[in-house]
Amino acid sequence: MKQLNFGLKSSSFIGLAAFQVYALLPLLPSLAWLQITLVLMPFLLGMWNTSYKYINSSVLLGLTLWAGSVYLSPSGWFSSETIISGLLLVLGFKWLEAKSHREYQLLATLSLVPVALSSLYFTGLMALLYLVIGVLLYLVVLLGWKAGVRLKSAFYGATRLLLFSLPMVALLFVTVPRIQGPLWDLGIVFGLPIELMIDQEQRQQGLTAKLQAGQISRLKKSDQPVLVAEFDGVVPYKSKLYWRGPVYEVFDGISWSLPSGWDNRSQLLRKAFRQKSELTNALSVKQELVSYEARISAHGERFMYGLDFPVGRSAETFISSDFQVLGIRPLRHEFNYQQKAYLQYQGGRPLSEKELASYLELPEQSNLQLQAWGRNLTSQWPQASDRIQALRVHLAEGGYQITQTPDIAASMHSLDEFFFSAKEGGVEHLASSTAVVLRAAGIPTRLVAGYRGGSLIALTNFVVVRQANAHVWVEAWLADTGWQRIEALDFVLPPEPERAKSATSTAAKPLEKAAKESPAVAAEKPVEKVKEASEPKQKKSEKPQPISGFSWLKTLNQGMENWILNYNPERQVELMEKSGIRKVDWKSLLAVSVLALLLVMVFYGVVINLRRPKRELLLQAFIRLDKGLKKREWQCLPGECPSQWLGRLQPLAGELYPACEIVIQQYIQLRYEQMPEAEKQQAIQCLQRDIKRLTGML
Amino acid sequence: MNKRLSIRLTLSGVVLVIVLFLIQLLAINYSNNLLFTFGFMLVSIFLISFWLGLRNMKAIQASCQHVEPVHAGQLLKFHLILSEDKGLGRYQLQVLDDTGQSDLVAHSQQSIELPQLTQVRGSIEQRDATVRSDWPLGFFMFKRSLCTLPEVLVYPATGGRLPLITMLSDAQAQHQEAVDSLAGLRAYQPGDNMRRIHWRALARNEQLQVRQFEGEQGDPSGWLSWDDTSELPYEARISCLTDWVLECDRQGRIFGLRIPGNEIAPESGVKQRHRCLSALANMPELVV
Amino acid sequence: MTAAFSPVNLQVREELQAAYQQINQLVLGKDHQVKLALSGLLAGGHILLEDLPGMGKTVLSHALAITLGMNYKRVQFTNDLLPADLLGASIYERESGAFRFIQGPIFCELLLADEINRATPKTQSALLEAMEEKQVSLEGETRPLPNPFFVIATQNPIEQLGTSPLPESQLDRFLIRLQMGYPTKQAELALFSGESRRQMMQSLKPAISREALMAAQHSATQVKSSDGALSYLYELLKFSRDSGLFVNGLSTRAGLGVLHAAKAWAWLSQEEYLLPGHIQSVFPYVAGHRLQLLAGASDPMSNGQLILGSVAVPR
Repeated sequence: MKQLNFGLKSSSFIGLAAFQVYALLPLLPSLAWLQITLVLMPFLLGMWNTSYKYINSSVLLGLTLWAGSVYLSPSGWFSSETIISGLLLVLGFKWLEAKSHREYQLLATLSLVPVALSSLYFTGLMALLYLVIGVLLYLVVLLGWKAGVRLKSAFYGATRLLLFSLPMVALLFVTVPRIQGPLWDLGIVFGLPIELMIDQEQRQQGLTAKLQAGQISRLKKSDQPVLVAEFDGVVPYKSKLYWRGPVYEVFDGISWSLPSGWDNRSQLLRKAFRQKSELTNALSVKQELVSYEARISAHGERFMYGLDFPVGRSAETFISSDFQVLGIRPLRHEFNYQQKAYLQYQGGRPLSEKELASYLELPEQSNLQLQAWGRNLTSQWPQASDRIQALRVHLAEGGYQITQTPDIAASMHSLDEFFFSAKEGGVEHLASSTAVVLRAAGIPTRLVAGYRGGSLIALTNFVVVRQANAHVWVEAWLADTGWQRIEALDFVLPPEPERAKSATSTAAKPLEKAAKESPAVAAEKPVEKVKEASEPKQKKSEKPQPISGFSWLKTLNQGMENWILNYNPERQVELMEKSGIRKVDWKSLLAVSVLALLLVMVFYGVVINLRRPKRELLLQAFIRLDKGLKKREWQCLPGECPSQWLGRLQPLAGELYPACEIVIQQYIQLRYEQMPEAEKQQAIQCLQRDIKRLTGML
Repeated sequence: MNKRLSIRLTLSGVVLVIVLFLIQLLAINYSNNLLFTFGFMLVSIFLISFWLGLRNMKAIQASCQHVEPVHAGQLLKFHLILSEDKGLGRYQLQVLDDTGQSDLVAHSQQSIELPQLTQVRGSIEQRDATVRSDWPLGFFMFKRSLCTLPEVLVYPATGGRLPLITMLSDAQAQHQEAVDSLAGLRAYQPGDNMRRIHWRALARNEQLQVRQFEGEQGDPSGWLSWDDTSELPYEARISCLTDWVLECDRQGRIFGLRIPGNEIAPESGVKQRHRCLSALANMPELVV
Repeated sequence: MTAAFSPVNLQVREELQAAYQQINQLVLGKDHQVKLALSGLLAGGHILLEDLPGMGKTVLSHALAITLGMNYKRVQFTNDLLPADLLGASIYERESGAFRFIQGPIFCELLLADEINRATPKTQSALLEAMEEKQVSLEGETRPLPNPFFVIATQNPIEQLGTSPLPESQLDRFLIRLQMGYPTKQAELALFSGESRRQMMQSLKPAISREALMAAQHSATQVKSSDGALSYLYELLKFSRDSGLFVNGLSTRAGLGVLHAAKAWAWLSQEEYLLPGHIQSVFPYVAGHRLQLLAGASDPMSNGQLILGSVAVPR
C-alpha cells in the first residue's frame, strides 16, 4: 500500500479514500462511460501503483484522452459534464502525485467542491444529510492523520467542532446577503453583454411573425436571457410585468400571424403614437407608473419588448399603435432604452368597423366546438363583461392544467381537443382558446406574445427576462373601456398537490396580501410553480419518500423545507425588516452579517479563551489591587512576599497605610492560610469589596 | 525576546478559502440554500479553528533546563520543559526545527529534547526557542517564541594523538604529601612524582609503583602545557589538550593548564574541567 | 486557636523568646544569624558557621549551647584528631578483663565542632556520617546518639595550609550554613565598651528546658503551609534545576530542609502559617551550600540570592 512510502497512518489514508469516494460517487452517473474510466484511472493507479516514474506521462495521456472524449461528446466544452470530469481528473492526478500529509490535506480540501456538486443530486433532507456527513468526514480526515490520533477520537473531535459551529452557521445563514443566481444574471447586472451569456449553439429564435402551437413551450425550455431591466425604485410584482412583443391578429386555425405590413417601417411610423398626450388620452384606466431602463439583446426584429403599457420616449424607438415599443431599425446589436409604463391600463384608439371585424374573424373550418361554445355565451349573457366572467369561471373550475410539454398535435381542431377533452396543454393553447371563445362571443380579441415576469436579482432592482418567461396573453376590446388584458392563465388554478405545498411556502406570503388587491396578481403562484417544476432538481422521482411510521421524519423534512430550503431573499428581507432595519439591501445585509460575524467571533473567542481555573478569583483580586497601587508606584515587586510589600508600604503610604494593611493582610490570609472553602469564598468577596474601596481612595 | 505571536494562513488554509469562494459561487448560482449552509459550516469551522489555535498557543510556559556541555561534533541537547497551568491541553506543538510534535496535557509538564549537531568549538549564541502549531485543522500556523535558549559553550573536539604529558607542579604536589601515613601502593602513572616511586617494589617485581598516602586526594598535580603538543597542527593541539584534560579529570588528578594567553592554576573537580575546557574552546581561531 | 498556639505552646514560645533574647544580648547585632541558627535547631538540623576567626562564631555556638540547656561538648578539630577521638573506642579493662566502650565526645546533645576543616577527611567523614545517621557504628556495633542531637560546626573559609575543606557533596549534611559577617557599628561599639564575652558566658544560664525545646520543635512543624507558599518553594527548586546556572539542581531533600527551616522561622516570627517571606529568609542559608555554579566562583550566599532574585512569587 501507498502509505508505506510516507508514513501516513493507514486509518487516515482509508479515511481520505472514503471521503474521496463519498465526494465523487454521486457525480459519476452523470458522466459518459469514457470519462468515468478516465476519472477513475488515476485513483486506481494511486491505490496500487507504488512507482511514480510514469506520473508525467500518465497525466499527459489522461489529459489527451479526456480532451478527445470531450471533443467527441455532444455536450461541448462548457457543459457541466466537461467541467465536472475535468475537475475530477485534476483531483485524481493530485491524488496520484500526492506524497506528504500536506498534499493529502489539500486534496481533502479540494474534494469539498465535488461534495458540493454531488449534493445537487439529492433533495431535501437527503441533501442536507449528505453535506453534513461530508463536512464530518472532512474534519475526521483533517483531525485523523495527525500521528497518534485514533479514528474514534477524530470522529468525536469532528462532531464536537461541528456542533460548536452550529450557532455561527445559523447566524451566517440568516444574515449573509442571499444573492440569487444564476451567476450569469449577476454578470448581466454588472453590465456584461447579454450575448455573452447566450450559448450560440443553443440559441433560440425568439418570437416571430407567426405563432405556432408549441412554440412558446419550446421557448420556455431555454434559459437564454432576452433583456435585463433596471427599475427606478421598487420592482413591481413579477406577475404584473408583461413585456410586449408581437401582437397577433390573424388566426388560421393552427397558427396566429401578424397583420400585413407588420414590418413596414413607414406604415408603422405613420400609425405610431407621436405625442405623450396622445398616449395618455388613449387610456381610460392607467395605474402604477413605473420607470425602467432596459437592455435588450439583438434578435433581428424590431420588438423592444417594452413593458405594458409604454408611455415614455426613448431615442431610436417608437410606440406602435399596438402599444409595442419598436425600434426604428431591427435589432442587430445589443440596445439600451429607457421607458415608463402603466402596469395597469385599459384603453386604446377607437377602432374602425373594419378593424373590429378583423379582430372578430375566425377560420370557418376549425375548432367548431369551441366556436359554438363561445356563441353560446353570447346568447346567455348580453353584457360583454359577463361573458368574460363566465369564461373565467369555466376556466377556473374546469380543472385545466398548464404544462411545459403539451401533448396536443397541431391540427385544425387542436383547441377543441385542449378545451374539452385533454384539458392539459401549453399557455398558447390556453390563450388561443380564450381568444377563439371571445371572438366567437363577439368580443374583438387579439393575441399578444411576449414575456411575463422575469427573475428579480435579489437585493437589487434588476429583473432579467429570459426565454423561459415567454408568454402569450389575450387582449379584448370592450366598447366602453377599450383594450383590456385577459390573463387566462390566472383563471386556471394550479394543480391540487402543488397548491398545498405552495401554501406553506414562505415565498408566497407577501403575494397573498397582494392577491386581495388585484385578482390578476394571484397568478404569481402558478407561474412560480410552473417554473419550479422545470428545474431538474425538483424531479419528484428523486424525492425520498419517508416511511409512514416515521412521521417525525416527515415533520423534520417539512420544517427543514420551510426554514432552510425555502429561505430566500424575500424571507431574508422580511426578517431583517422585522428586526428593525429600515432599508434592506445587500449592503446593509452585508454590514449586518459582518457585524454579527464579528460579534460571534468575539463571543467564540471569549468562550474559547476565557476558561479560567478556580483560584483565579483571588488572583484577579490581587491583580486589581496591584494595579490600583501601581498608580502611586506602590505595586508589589515580582519576587516580593506580600508581607514584605506591606512592610515597604508602611513608610510610603502614610495615612492610607491602615487601609492597605487591612487589604493586604486579608490577601495574605486568603492566599497562605488554609481555610474552609465556604469561608474562603466569603472572604474573597469581602476582599474584593475592600479592594474596590481602597482603589477608590487612591 | 520577541514574545509576539505570529499567525499565518497555511497553504491548506488558502486552498480552503478558495474552495469556500467556489462553493459560495455554486450556492449563488444554483440559489441552493443547502450549499449556502455547507459553505457557512466550513466558514464557521475555519473561524473556530482560528480561535482554538490561538488558545492552543496562549500562556505556554517554557524554560530551558541546563545543557550538558558537549564536544564539537557531538549532539548538543537542549532540554526544554514546557508547562501549562491554565487547565487546557495543548496540542501538536512543534518546537524550533524539531520534527516531532508533542502534546501537552493540562496542568502538566512536558520535557522536550532539542538536539543540535555541533560543528565547531566555541560558544553558540543565545537564541529564541519558538513553538509552532497548526492545531486543530492545519489552516493556520501559529508561531511564538517560548524562551531564550542559553548561550552554550561547545568544547573542542576530542581526539588526542599524543600520550598524556604532565609536568609536575611543585607547590601543589608538595602540600598534598606527607599528610598521613602510607596507605598503599598503586601503579605508576605518567606525571607521578618521582620521589614517590617505590623503588623497593621496582626492585622486587620490576613494576613501577608509587606510594599513596592517607588523606591524599587523587593523584599528584601537574601542568598540561600547550608547548608539549608542538608537533601537531593548531586545531589538533587543542583537541589533544582537550583529551588530556578529560584524561586527567577521569583520573581524579589535580592539574593546571597552560595555553597561550591563559594559565589555569592546578585544581581538580568538575569546575576545573569546565574551566580548562572553556579556555580551550575559547581559544582564537588560527589566522592564516 | 491552632496547634501552634495552644496554651502549652504559648509557654514554650515564651521560654524560647527568652532564650532568643539571652543569646541576642550576648551576640550583639546578629539578630538574623541568631534567628537562623535557632530555626535550624528547631527544624532539627545541623549548623555550619563559617567566617574568619574572631567574628563571634564560637560565642554564638556556645551561647546557643548553654542557653538551650543542652548537654553539650566541644571538640577542637585538628589534623591529628582521629575518628576514635571523636566517636570513642573500646578499651581493654584489666579489672574486668573485657573491652569497655568509652564514649567519645559525640555522645552528647549538642556537639560544638570547632574548625571542622582542620581535621583530616577521615575524621570529617566520621562526624558527617554520625550526623546523618544519628548513630555511631564502631567495631560492628551500632550505638544510637542521644535525642536531640545537634552539631554546630565552625570553619574558616580561607583555605590554609593543612586544611581539608569539607567535601562539597557532603555539605548538605548541614541544614544551614551561615556566615557571621562583621558586626554593625553600634554592636561593635557596644562590644568594645561592654563586658568581656568570655566572662558573660561564664554566668550564662540555660533559659529553656530540654523538654520545652522538644515541644518547640514539634510545634514548629505544625505551622501550616498552603499551596501558595509551597508552589513558591517549588518554583525556587525548579529554577535551580532548569536555569542551567548550576552543576546540579536542588534535591527534594534540600527542598524539605528549606521547608522545615522556613516553618521554624515562621514559628519564631509568631506566624501561624508559612509566607513566601519566611522561605526567602532561610533559603540562601539552606540552599546556598548545596549549589555550585557551573561557571564562575561560587559563593553560597549569592547562589541563593540569585535564585530568589530570578523567581517571582506566584500570586
